[in-house]
Amino acid sequence: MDALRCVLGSLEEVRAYDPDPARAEALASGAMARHGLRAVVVETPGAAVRGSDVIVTAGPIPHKPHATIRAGWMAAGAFASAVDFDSYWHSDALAELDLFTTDDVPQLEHFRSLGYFQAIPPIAADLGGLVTGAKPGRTSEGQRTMGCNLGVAIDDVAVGAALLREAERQGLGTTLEL
Amino acid sequence: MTEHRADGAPTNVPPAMIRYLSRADVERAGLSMDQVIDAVEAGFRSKGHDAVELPAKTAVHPGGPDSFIHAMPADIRDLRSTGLKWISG
Repeated sequence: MDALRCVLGSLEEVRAYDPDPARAEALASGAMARHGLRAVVVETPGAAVRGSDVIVTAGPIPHKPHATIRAGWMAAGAFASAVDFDSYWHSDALAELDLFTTDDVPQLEHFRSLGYFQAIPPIAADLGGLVTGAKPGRTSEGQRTMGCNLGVAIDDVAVGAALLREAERQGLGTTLEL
Repeated sequence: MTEHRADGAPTNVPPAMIRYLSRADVERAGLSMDQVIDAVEAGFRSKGHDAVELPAKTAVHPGGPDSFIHAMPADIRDLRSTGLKWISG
């Protein structure tokens, strides 16, 4: 939520769904308290997905997707961030995507060889290509797009470097001899 | 003349030091989400320029086949940063 707020200044409303209502309530409360957003807890996955501009799924990653999100739920022009592989998405819903990207194609292909990602559309770009502009990303407002980032070590190494600089500047931490 | 230990390492070289950061240290550093996003974007810009090394993760399974510990090294040349991500699940 903190990250979304940084890059989506026009965010107005959060619809939170979780099988455990207390967790959905915690997300909604945080969105209101930390970010001043309108936030509601919804009772079904469909109520969270239908009509939303941004869809973030972050559930368990079973070997076979539970495929909760069905075709026809994702609005034209919406963006989906799948933090939990393709677990939440039915193959018919994935077929509606106009653009599918990931952070590292070899890593996704590795997991595809293990049985995940059997129904995803062609991979249009990786994040490096999007950041440098080598790949266009979204090319029209009506496209349904998904970023499925599995997590790679450069995330942590880049942030770790920034953290180390700040720790050195503030004199934080404990110096240990190797 | 440099003296050496039995294992060949020189004895008159100052020991290498590392800075250990506890969770509290990390929280105290107070990186903002904007700083985190900028750092990750810089990392992926390097990846887009083929200026990173990002080998496939290596796994061990100490708790059986449903458990894992992944070793995930990376080098980001532009940032002069190298590290290892070590995660379990």
